[in-house]
Amino acid sequence: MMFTPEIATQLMPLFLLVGGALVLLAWSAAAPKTARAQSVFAGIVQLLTFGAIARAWHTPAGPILGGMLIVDHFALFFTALCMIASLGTTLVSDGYLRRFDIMRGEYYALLLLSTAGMFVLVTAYDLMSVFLGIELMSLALYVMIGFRRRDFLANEAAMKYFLLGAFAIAFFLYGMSLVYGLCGTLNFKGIVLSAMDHEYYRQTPFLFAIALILVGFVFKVSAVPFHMWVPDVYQGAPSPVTGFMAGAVKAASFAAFLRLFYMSFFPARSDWVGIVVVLAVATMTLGNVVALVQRNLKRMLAYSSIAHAGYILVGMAALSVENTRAASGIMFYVLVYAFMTMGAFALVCALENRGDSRGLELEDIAGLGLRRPMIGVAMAVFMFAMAGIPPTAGFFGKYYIFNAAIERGLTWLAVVGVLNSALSLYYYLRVVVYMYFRPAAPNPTTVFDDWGVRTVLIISVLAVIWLGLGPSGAVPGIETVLSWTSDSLDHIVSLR
Amino acid sequence: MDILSRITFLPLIAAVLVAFMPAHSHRTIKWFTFLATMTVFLLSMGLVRQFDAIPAMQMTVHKAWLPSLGISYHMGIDGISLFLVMLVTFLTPITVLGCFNSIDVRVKEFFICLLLLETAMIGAFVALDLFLFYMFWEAMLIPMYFMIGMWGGERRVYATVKFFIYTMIGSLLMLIAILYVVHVHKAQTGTLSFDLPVLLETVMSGPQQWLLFLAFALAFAIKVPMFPFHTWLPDAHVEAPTPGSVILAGVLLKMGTYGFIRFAMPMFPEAALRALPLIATIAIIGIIYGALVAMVQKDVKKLVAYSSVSHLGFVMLGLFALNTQAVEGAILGMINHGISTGALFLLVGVIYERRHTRLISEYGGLTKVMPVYATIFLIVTLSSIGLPPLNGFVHEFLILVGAFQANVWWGVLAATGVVLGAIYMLWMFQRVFFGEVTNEKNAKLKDLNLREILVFIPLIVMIFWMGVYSKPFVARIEPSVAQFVGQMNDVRNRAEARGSGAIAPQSASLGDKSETVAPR
Repeated sequence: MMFTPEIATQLMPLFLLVGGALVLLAWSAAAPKTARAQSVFAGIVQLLTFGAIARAWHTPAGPILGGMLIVDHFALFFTALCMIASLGTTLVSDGYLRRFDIMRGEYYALLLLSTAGMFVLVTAYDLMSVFLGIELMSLALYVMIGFRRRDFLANEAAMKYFLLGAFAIAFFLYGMSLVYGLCGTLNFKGIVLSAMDHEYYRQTPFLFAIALILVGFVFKVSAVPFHMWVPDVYQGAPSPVTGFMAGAVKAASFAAFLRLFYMSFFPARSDWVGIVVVLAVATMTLGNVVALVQRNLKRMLAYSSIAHAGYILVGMAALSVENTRAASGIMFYVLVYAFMTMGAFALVCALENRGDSRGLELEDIAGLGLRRPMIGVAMAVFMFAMAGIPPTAGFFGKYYIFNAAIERGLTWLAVVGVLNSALSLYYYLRVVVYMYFRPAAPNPTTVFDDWGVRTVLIISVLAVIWLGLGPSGAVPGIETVLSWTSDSLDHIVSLR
Repeated sequence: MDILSRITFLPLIAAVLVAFMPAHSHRTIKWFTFLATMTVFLLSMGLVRQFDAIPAMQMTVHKAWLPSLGISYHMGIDGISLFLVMLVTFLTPITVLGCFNSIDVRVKEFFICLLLLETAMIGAFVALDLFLFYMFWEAMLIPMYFMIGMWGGERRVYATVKFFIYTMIGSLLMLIAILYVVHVHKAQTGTLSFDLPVLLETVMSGPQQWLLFLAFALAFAIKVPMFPFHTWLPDAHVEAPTPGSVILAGVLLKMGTYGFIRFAMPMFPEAALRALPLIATIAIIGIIYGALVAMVQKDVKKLVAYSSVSHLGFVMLGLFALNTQAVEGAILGMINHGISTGALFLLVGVIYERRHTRLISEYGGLTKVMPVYATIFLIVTLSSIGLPPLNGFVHEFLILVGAFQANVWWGVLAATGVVLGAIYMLWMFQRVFFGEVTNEKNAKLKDLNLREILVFIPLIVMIFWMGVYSKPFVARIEPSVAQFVGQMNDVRNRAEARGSGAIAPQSASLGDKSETVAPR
């Protein structure tokens, strides 16, 4: 195996993230009181990573490191997405951590490490790399979730995520071992070749392995029936971390999920699609129905995040070899969802304050829209976008997914999807109702919107609107993004 | 920029400008909005001037928007949409002028909403690309949601959320139907397009058409609103501020009827014909039910709201009677209802501003205290019940003539609606205006001031004009209507000529074609 300069370029994001994390670890050990400077450093590393992604974009893609990883456009798309979420997290974290007095340097080191895990996960071309990526991403997260270590809920959340995560990944490993036993390889391409040769796609042990691997992914993307951890973890984790989980972890997990199922397991689609359809319906419905009765904002967003995983699963069910529209829809949806959720959680961060242990309730945002018009407009945009109302990008995301489902003959699934969107309107609108139509509480919550939060809000609002309406031009509009996604997917299909 | 885009997006630009004005300068914002909407109205006069009375889309714009998705920026107007656009541009400045006093909190936000709403309404009437139409259609919801929710009455939150969710459920199913049609069309011709003229050529099997028609019809029926989907309407009207009610009754409800004639019926003619008895029945139920419920209302605004259910039942009956008179009557009915009911809501708003109650029992003998107000109210009331020579008569007459031609029973039953309409309106008028002033609070009510009179003058002029000399309107509407009716009758005649036995093989072959859409 040759380690060419090209491979170095392709892996540069990983080197930067890991290198940055190591520097930060050493730094925080040596000078623990400089967390602010460390956040700036982390931000710089993240910005540099964007540059590295841009350079890697133009290198010829192919399996590297003996077929462990592949840095193609698909992977870089998701890397960029995770980096946006990661950078957004850095921006909102500083003020939040200081307010809660949990400012430690390791935080940023862990953030970078987790993002590095995502890079491995989205570039994985081998089940072993998927496993490594998931673990690297999650290990850092376990710590970050429990970062408010004197807080009961945070401890509960970290413990829950750790135990359930370990449990779910065990399923995944078992599936992996079955695949290895059958195919003698864990390489995505190798699995296809071997399974084709031996006609494993029709045999129970292989399908069993697929089911077990599916369990691992379903857990990570927070879909029913492995969603139990979501509300508690989302509520207990520090809000910037929650935003990071909802945006980036879900995106990276869906990336690996999509690549594996679109490439290696696709010939068995007729066998797993039924499960995915059932999961999609259950996930959308449960997420939306339970979100209806939530009064805690973070829990509501947690259930909404489950529901969104359900919509994306509709896209998974609609995958097709003839065209890449369903997969393209998934990529677009994940991107849009990352922006919406990043914005929403940035606001949650700005609104949460230390004194109150019960968390952020709907009553706390009463009258917010009138008190702080810009903040109100931003939140309203995110809520309307999550509900999928045009002309926001949230609408287009749903549109592509349901469009693909109809094209695939799953019209009824699309109907279930839109009925669910109608249901979700109620709780998204309720946020708007509280912000605008309810009088403010006598002692309203302070909004801690430092420049980091504001930057994230502005970028998210612009992205959510621009990806909805913007024609292609100097700034990549909806069509540009879609051409990226379909090009990168064509490449995956060509590898199959 | 072409004229349609200019008219559509001028209010949007004005809204952006208002957003940058200081929030406390109420007068500036109000006058600016009024001038902006007047400009839109004057610009839209150009539409009437340039319009040729031929059955074709005119002043069309067709540009690429998202070409890879088959979505284009396609706009145009014909005889059906021309006066609906005019109705929007005509009613909006009147509404603005009418609410100079009633809106005094969060003025800036209110007028931004109103301007955004105008853009969305005009856009929905001129869009000829289904995707573009859907965008405008949905875009109407958000400003209206805020208008009811922020400036509404006591139960405003309930009313506005109900309004939003009701409408959204229908629209989402329509979206699925739109996507489905687009895919069927793509499977048949290989081109991906949301363009209405292109999609009209799609061939669909009977069951497909039926389901798709139902999805479209549900969305539009909720908006109209047709019985039994009307329950959001009284709530929304009662809670909405006066300008919200005017726009809601005046324009938004017509989106539903317009949707039927522009999209649902031409796209799925066979299904529409099949649904005809059902929809006509529901429309007649709506006419009578709306009138009966209106009769027992204690609140003037609620009474007018239920009268809308009844009036729009007429319009729906006219559309589905499917002859030239009835459909023409239906289109005139949409415009007349916009003017008369808009005026009624404004009038109710006037008295509400003074007394802060709308209960009929609180009033009586207002003729003595407010003679000008009473006169205007009387004219509008008479217009609403369709007394010649006022505007209401023209369309009710046309619809009834058409309904009798289509089916004698429809005509008979619908005519009872006219009678009931006269009863509830006149009874309400009698209780509010005649007799002695029984309530002391009413004794010193001020009559209309100059601004308020100015608000009503254009409405009164239109009421008389369209009643006495409706030829300029009819002449422009007729060619498009004749074409629409001709096409629908062609479909009907073909179906009858083939007889039921002959349809089967053709629909079977269509079924085969549609198989290509379904996945393997």
